[in-house]
Parts: sequence; structure tokens; C-alpha cells
Amino acid sequence: MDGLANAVFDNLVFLQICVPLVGSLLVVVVSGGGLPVVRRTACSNTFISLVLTGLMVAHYDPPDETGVASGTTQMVSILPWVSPQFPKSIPTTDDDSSIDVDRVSASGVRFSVGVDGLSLIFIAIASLTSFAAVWTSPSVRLEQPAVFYGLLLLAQSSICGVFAALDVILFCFFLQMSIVPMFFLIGLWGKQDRSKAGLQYAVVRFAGSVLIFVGLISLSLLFAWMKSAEDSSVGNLTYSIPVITAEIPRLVADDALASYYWSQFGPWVFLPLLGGIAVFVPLFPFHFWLKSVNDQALPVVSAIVSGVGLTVGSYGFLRFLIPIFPEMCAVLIDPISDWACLSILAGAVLAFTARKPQETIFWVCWSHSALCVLAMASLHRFGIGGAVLLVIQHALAYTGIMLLMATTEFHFQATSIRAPHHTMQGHRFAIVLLLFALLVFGIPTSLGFVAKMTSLFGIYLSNPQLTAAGPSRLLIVLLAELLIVWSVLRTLPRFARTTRESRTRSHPNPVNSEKEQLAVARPENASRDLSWRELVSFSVLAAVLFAMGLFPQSVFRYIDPTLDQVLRSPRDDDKYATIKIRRKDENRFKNAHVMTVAK
Amino acid sequence: MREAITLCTVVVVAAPIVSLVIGVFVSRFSKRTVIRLGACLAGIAALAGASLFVLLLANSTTGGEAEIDFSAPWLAMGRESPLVVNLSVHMDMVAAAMATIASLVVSLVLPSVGRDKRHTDSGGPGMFSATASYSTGAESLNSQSSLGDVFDSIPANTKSQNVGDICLWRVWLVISLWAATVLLSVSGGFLQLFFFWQLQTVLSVFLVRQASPRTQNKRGTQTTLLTMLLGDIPFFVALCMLWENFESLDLAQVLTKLGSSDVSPTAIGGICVCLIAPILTRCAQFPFSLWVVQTSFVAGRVSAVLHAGLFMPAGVFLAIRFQPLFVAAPQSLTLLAIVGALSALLVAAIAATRSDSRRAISILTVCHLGFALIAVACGAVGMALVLLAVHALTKTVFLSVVDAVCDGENTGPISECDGGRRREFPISAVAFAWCAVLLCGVSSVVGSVRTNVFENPQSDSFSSSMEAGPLDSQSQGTGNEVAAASRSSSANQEAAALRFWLTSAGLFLSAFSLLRVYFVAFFHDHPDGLHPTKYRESFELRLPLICATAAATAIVVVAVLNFGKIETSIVAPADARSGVTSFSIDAFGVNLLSSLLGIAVAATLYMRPNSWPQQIESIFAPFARLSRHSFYLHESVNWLVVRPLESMTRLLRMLDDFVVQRLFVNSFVTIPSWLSVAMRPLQVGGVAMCVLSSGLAVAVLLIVSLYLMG
Repeated sequence: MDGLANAVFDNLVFLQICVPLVGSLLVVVVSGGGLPVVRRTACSNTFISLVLTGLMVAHYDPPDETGVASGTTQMVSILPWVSPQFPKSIPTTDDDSSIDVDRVSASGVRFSVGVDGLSLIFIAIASLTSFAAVWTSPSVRLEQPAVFYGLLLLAQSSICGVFAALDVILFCFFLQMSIVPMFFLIGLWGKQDRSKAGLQYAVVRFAGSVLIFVGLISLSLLFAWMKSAEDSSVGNLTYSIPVITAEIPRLVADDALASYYWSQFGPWVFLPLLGGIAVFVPLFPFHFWLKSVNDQALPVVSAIVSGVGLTVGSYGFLRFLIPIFPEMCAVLIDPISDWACLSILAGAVLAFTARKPQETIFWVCWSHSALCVLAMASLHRFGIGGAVLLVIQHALAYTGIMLLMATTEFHFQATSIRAPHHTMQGHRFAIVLLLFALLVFGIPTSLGFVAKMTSLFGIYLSNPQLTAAGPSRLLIVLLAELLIVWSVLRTLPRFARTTRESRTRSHPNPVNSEKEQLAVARPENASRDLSWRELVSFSVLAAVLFAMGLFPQSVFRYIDPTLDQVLRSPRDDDKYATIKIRRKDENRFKNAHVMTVAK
Repeated sequence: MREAITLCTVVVVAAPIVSLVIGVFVSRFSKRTVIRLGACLAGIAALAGASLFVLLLANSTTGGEAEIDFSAPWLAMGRESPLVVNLSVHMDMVAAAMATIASLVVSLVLPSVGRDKRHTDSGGPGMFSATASYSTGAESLNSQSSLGDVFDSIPANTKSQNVGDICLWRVWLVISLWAATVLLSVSGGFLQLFFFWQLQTVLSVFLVRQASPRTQNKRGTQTTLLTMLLGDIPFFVALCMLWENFESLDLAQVLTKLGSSDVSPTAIGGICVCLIAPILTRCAQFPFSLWVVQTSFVAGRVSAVLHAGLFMPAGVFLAIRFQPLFVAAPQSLTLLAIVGALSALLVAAIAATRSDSRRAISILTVCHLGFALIAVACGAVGMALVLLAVHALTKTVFLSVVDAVCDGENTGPISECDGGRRREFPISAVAFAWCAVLLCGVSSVVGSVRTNVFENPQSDSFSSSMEAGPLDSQSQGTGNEVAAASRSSSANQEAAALRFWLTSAGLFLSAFSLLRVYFVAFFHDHPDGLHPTKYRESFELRLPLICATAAATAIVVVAVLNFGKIETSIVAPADARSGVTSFSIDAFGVNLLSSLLGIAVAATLYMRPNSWPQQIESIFAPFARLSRHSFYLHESVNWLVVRPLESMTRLLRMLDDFVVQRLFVNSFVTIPSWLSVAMRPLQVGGVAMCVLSSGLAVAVLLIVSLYLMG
């Protein structure tokens, strides 16, 4: 019994990916039972997934001060996938579940998943938002509900896979897999131009994922080449993300030839990765698909796209760019930061000019995702830590507020939130709307306050050896925030006003002119206020945000060791001295490079 | 003694939180119990705070050191030079005074604050016009159009729908604001101060929205929030600069390092200027006074909470907290004093031209807080605290009286005012008059403070000065310092003279504005006789008035008797203080004369109906029109900020629509169509036909060629 429990605990991450996958099949199987059965199955599945997340968080043992006592990557599950080669040391239930480099360094593509502090938090966000999304949509009669919920669960599974993948190929697999359900979710349910929006989404995200794929494959090949420069007697091709992340900085610091290779080919690997991540964030001008998606897709889908979908870019930045390419990040700190600043300002200004509350919200959402990039690009410990908190706040708060609007549309078929007669009228709805508006602002006592405070600290204190524009960027961000507050103050009342208008007018069953544009139909006995299920899901999101805001150390306990590793590379000690080494020994290593190629 | 101090600290800090927590449970059974419980706990906290202040005063041997200093880790990020933030309770005399003021005001106001209706019918009959119109609840409900609509969806059991109902939502906001203020006052770190500062802002904005008439609440809420954010941005920048230069956000550590570290004066100056910005916005000093004008519509008792007790005085509290830091950059003190004096004058002028009593009194808060800022800038922290306490209590009296006696909504000509309520509201009349005299007197004292930090007392004509600072010997610098001081003495003298005359003029106008309301309300007998009123001076009104007046009087008496001890006890770490604060008798004489003159002019003009006010109003009509538009602040903001922003946004929207949309979105749409056009022959068999035709032609040609050759 203990063995089974240990096996379950050691493979929690694997289960976390599998449970929604199985759920997506299950809802199709039980689709004959009608909407209630499908709905209950999907809700149960997301609830189980949420429980598993809780178990993961409880089971995860944050490393101690030294950072190596129990390892940062835990609950690792490794299965042979493309390559038949199985790792020599199979994780057993009796051993410590932590991972070491040797276990994942075997060559071949494997289904290896696990979590460190960073991916644990991201997986928790994905589970939480999926739970809220599925639980807030049950009272709707959808066309093809089994397919809808199945695709939602498939999207959750693939996004969890992205965050848990320890293998480059697996990462790319999940990344591209996550596009497919979202494409159908956008394209099949929504408004008139939904197929166009779905196509835009798929094309842009696919382009981004191809860039990331090219970058990561090139990175693996380059790593193999660099490794062979150190020791040519063994096969060095590996796709293991922990190995590549840990070994490349060491090789660059220790081995001169590897350093030379890195200096020559590293930028060509970095650029496609940066481009792909910029598409996924998205930074200006790759943001145009956001508007189409938010206009045309169902708000539940928009919530997942805005809330969780956009976190993938930030995760890629933290997982690949900063730890593996610190010199490139250092060299490009100004362009990347300015690019992010441009996006922040553009988002704020577009939010200011938006005419509808949803529009305001997603432009604010976009501006804040660019703020995450700016904070990470500061290459300061505070900025990166704050960026992780911002991602959490961003995902949960925006998902909450988008789902609130989704609830309105689902209940009353209002394709525009400003359309009269079709908005929520209850006091629960009003309180929850107010609460999430404050959470988006980052009210003190919520996570947003700590997140913004620490990330803005990081932006101001941006690595002074690399850039001197930290204070000016901070001012730009603060001005953008002012504009955002202003814009929300301008547009949110419009939303609230419809509440009043619809209450004062007495149209018992009005006809919506845009009714035909939705593939949903209003249930006969639709509530005018939030149901208890919706209230529970919103309460969970808000409670998590407030709990994290009141006890931020509970988050830093998990992410701190990982972030220390992200920023701690052998090169840091000598303040990016490899750049100098590269220039100094360039001529000397050219000959060695030619000889190696000749061999 | 130590145990008593600890106990009082616990009571002061815990009372609002207990009130909030227990109130939530009790509210399910009885709303009145919530209010009574809150008021009782606030009273207990006020008593505990006052005891604490007295205990600390009696026990102060070290001067400025906190008697209670407790901290617990809250946030620690990173391992090398980590960002560590502790939750600390730093209880000294300033914190005790601020917490006492907040608790006192809440205990006086809370019993009636929940009964204030949110519309204009909260008071009695129209004081300044017999034709005052009251909007009914139904009309107001239909005319709402702002963020507060969210509140309107809250069910009837938490908000007031009818006259006499208890608005529990507003009670929660007041208690939360009280908790935030107490926690702000005991905060020992910059970040903690910022945290509770922002929490105060959020709660106050909601309170403004909730307690304003529906026709005014939107603009008031937005202006308040945006103005506060304008101050918070430099505040946050200051925090970043503090961390950059001192690597700490703990107040005590920063002050300790200030003397020993080699931080550049420019950086300290920048930090101080950034820290002054939130003080100016919160105290609504010029040019940030617009929000007070727009929020002066709030119900009187809520206005007492916002303007006198909790929200705006927090700005002066912050100035007192940061005063030791400002001493390191004397220019910031000059800025604070001059802005305070200028704001006092301008806002007193605005108040003098207002014809609605509630707004006039609300606006005068800016004036009195300006005097308090002058005292802080001069290093007379004790005097600033006394003024703050007296101002909070007297303003509570004024606003309660105005709410009960007058209605401040209309802006008709003041000569047509209807008053003469002294027989129906005798206690209110006496309390108002006594409080007005107290406030004018204390303001005159505070306006007479001088310092050598940014002024030069050696070359001053006011030679008879009473020294209040303990470090007079430090003011004697080296030869170079003296030379430098003499070079800047003329500029300093000009600044001192400017501040002095601005203060005197401000005192005259503020006394005039305050007493004008009094005389109009209680003496201005209309020749046609009084309009009947159903409002009477009830026990519920008398009790807080008597308590507040007695408390204000007691504070003044205690302050006069222990003036020197208070001043020497309430100082920041002694090594950070290098100025000499002095109280000039001559300046006090001039200031007192100004105040008396203001009272006399108000009595002459408004005690009995005559034609002078009309004539004066006609003379000052342009000035009144100017003040109605807040000295063109609103227009300036509109043309300098709003219009350019709108233009920019339009431009960006055009870019987004015409460039990004066309370049990317349309290209994505058109690429498949181009491809489909290109591939269409292949799709429809055109290419196959061509290939087959060509092949056939080649075959035919070959056959023909072979035939011809063969």
C-alpha cells in the first residue's frame, strides 16, 4: 500500500498531465448522457486535477539554503518514447524522487516530465484556471458540449505538459499540441468571424512554435558539438532540458573551444528562440491576433487564452533564454526592454481608447504580459521574482474577470457587454466584479501588489552594469499604469451601467439582435445572479490571490531556489567575462575549430 | 510601566481589527450592535492611545526612540542582498497621537455615519437658499452612472435605501479605513507605510463614491484616485531610490545610515522631493487641491472621517515620519513650507467665495493642513500634532453642525441666506464658536514657528525667540558653513518673509471663512422670518459635539502646559536633527491679529443681513467664478494632459487599425487567397491539361517527325 502511495506521489506530474487527457476522452464517451453528465464529468475531472495539484504542492520539497539537498527538479517520470533506449537508473519508489543530471542525460527522445519550483507554480496556475473555467460554464447549453469540454481538458493537459516537460522534443510536442484544441475552441464556438480568428491564432502560434522548435533543436545540436569539444569519446546528443541548462554555462566557462563555438553559433540559436517567445508573449506587433480572438471567441476560451496561454511565453523566457543565454540577454537587454516598454505603452494606450470593457481588459492584460517580460529582462533578481508573481496574478485575476464577463454572456447571450437587458443583475455578481477589478489593479493585500512592487523594483534596479535606463523605464511603466487605471475607471462603469439600465427597464424577454451570432442558447430558467458553482470558482481564484498576497513567502519558498539557479551561472562570477574571453582567444580557437570540423 | 505601554499598544492596534472581525459576525443579527461595538472599541482605543501618549511622554528619556518596536518577517526574496520586508510595529509618540486622533474621530462619528444618506437630503433645510431642492432616493437611483453602480447592486441589507436606514457598507468602509490608518501610523518601514498608504487610498475612494451625491460622485472618485496615484508614483520611485542608496527599507536603519553613509546629497534631495509628492497630493496642497473641491460633496460625517480624521491627516503624519530625512535636504523643507503657505492662502480664498457651508468647511481642511505642514517643515512636530488633533476634533464639530443645521448643496447668493438657528441649536452654536476660536488660535501659534534649517534666525528681526530644539549648539557651524549660510541668507530671508505673509493672509481668510459660516448659520436672521424646520438638536448630536469640544479644549490645555516637553520628546533620532526651531512672539502677534481681523470682518458682514455682502460679492464676482473652476486647474489638466493623451491615443489607434491591422491581419487573410489563386489552375485541372496537351503535342510532333524522316 505504501509502495502504491509512493508510486502515485512520485508520478504526480505524470498523473497531472494524464488526468485531463483521460477526462477529455471520458466526456466524449459519456456524451450520450447529455449536457448534465458531460458537465459533471468535466467538473469532476478538473476538481481531481486541482486536488492533484494540491498534492503536488504539498509533496514538493523546496531545496534548502544550499539548493542541492533535495534537488530542484522533483517527481520525475521518465518513459521511453521515440528512442528505445531506457535510462540506466529508473526512478524507484524507495529512492529520493529528486533528479540528478546523470538520470536524464541519456540520449534519445523520452517522455520525461517533472517539476521544479517554477514549473510547479505554472502547472498550479493552469489547473486552477481550468477549474474555474469549467466550473463557471456549466449552466450553458452548448452545441456539441462533449467536444467543447473535451477540447478544454485537452488544452489543460497540453499546457501542463509544456510546463512539466524535461525534454526539448516533448516540450515542442506539447507546445504544438496546445495549439490544436485552442484552434478548434476558437473556431467552432464564438461569433461570426470565429473561423478567421481561429486561423489567425493557429497560424501565429504555429509560426512561433516552429521558431522555438528550430531554436531548441539547434540548441541541442550545438550543445552536442560543444560537449564533443570537451570529450569526443562519447555520444553527446541529448534533448534533456535540465542537462542542457546546467551544462552549457559550465562548458562555456570551463572549455575554451566550447566557448568559442558558443560565441559563434549561440546568437543564431538565440534569435529564433527570442522570436518564438516574443510571438507567444506576445510582444508588439505580434499582438494583433489577440484582438480577433477576444472579439470572436467565447469569453471562456478568451479567458484561457489570455490567462494561461500567455504565460507560456514568460515561461519560455525564464526556462531557456535567461539561464542558457545570459550574455545574449545582457547584450540585448536594452532592445528587449525597450520592445517590452513599447508593448506596455501601446497596451495602455489602446486600453485607454477601448470602447468596450472586454476590449479594455484584454489590452490591459496584454500590457501586463509585456510588463512580465520587462521585469524579466531587467536581469535583476527582484525583477525576475516579481515577474513570476506577476504571471500568477495575471493568469488568475484576468481569468477571473474574463470569466465574469463570460458568465454574463453565457447567461444572457449578450454578444456585447454593453447590450442592454442582458447583463447580470445580482449583488453577488457586483461584489465579485468589484473584487476582481481591484485584483487586476493590484490592491494592497492581494498578490498583485507584491508582484508589481517587486517587479518594478527590479525594473528600477536593472543590472546597472548592463543598462542605465532602469529608472526611465520604471517611469514609463508607472505612467502606463496610471493610464490603465484611468481607462479601467472609464470603461468599467459602462459595464456596471448596463446593470442599472437593465434593472430599471422592464423587458421580460427581450430579443437580442446579435443572438444568432452565438452558438449558445439561453436556458429557460437562467439565473440573474451568479450560481453557487460560479461563486465557488471565483472565490477560489480570489482566495488564492489574497492568500498569496498576504503570505508572499509561501510562493517565494518554492520559486526562490529555482530562480537562484536561473540567475546563477559560472559566468556570473566574472561579470560576463566570457565575452572578453571570446574576443581575446578568437584567433587561437579558429584553428582548433577547423581541425575539429575536419575530424 | 513597560507592561502598561505594551497593553495600550495592543489595544490601539487590535481595536479596529477586532471591530471589523466581530462586526462581520454580529451584522447578521443587528446592524446597530455593529455600530455601537465599533464606536465603543474606537473610544477604548482612543483612551488607550491617549494613555499611551501620556505614558510615553512621561517616560521619555531618550527622545524620539520608539518604546515598542516589534517586527516579523513578511517577505524575503533572493539570497544575495535580499529584499527583506518586515512587518513591524513601531509605536512612538507620533504613532500614538495619530492613532488616538483616528480612534477619537471614529468614535465620535461612527454612530451617525451609517445614517447619512448618500444624497443631498442629509442635513436640514437649505441654509443659503430658501428654495433648496432635495433629490429623492428614487431620482438618484435612476440618475446614477458610475463605478458606484457596482455598489448599487449590493442588496438592500447592506446599503441605505430609505431615510433612517443604516448603511452598513459605509460603516465597514469607515472601520476598514480606521484600521488602515492605525496600521499606517505604527508602520516602521517604508514599504509597510506605502502598503497601508495605498490601502487607505482605495478605501477612501470607495468611501467618497459611496457617500457622494450621484451627480457628483463620478468625477470626485476619478479625480481622487488619479491624484493619489500621481503622488504614489514618486513615492514608489523614492522607495526604489532608498533601496538603491541605503539597501534597506526600514525607517530606523535608513535614518541611522543617513548620518554615516556617503550617499550623495543629490540622491537624498531627489528622494526627499519624491517623498514630498504623496504628502502634497494627500493633503491636497496646491496644485493638487482639485480633488478636495470635487469630493466636498460627501456627507458631513463622512467628510469628517475623510478630511479631518483619517485620510488627509495621514499626509501630515507621513511628513512627520519623513521629517528627519527632509532635514538632510533643507530645500525640501523650504518647498514644503512654501507650498503649505501658498495652499493655505489659495484655498482659504476659495472657501471665502463658496456659498455652501459644507463645502467651505471641507475645503478649509487644505488650509489647516497647510499650516500643519509649515510646522513640520520648521521642525515643530509637536505643534503639528496638536494642530492635527485640534483640527480633527473641531472639524468633526463643524461638519456635524453643518450637516444638522445647514444644507450645503446649493450655490445661491449668500445674501439670500436663511440662518438664525441659534435658538434651536444652542449647544451647536456654542460648540461651533468655541471650536472656531480654538482652531484659529492654534493655527496662529503654528503659523509663528520658525527654523534655522532653511531660514536664518541670526539675521532675523524677530529676536525674541523661545528655543524649543535641544540641539542649538549644532547650529553653530564651522567658518565655511557660516560663510555659506551668510551667502544664502538673503534668499532664505525672502523665503521666510514670503512664507510669513502668506501664512498671515491665509489665517485671515480662513478665520473669515469659518466664522462666516457660523454667523450665517446662527445669527443671520432673515427679515422675512425663519423658515420652519423639523430638525432639532437631539441628544445624538449634542453628545459628540460636547465630547469633541471638550477633547479639543483638553488637548490645547495639555499642549500649552507641556509644550516644551512635547516638543523635545517628539523628535526623530537626535543625530538626524540639526535645526533649531523657534517660536516667534512677534509673528504670533501678527498672526493672531490677522485671525481676529478675519473674525471681526465676518461678524460685521454676516451677523445681520445687510447689503455689504452683496456689494462685496459683486466686486469679487470674477474671483468667485475663478474659484468655482478651481483656479483653472481642471481646465489646465484638460488641455495639458487629457487632450494630448486623447490625440496620442487616436493616433495610435489609427496606427493599430491601418498599419498593424492591414499589414498583419489582412496579409494573413490574403496570403491564402493569393496562394489559392496561384494554385487554382492546379486545383481545377488546368495544369494537368497543359501538361497533357504539351505531352500530346510532343508525341504528335515526334510521330510526325518520324513519319517525315522515315
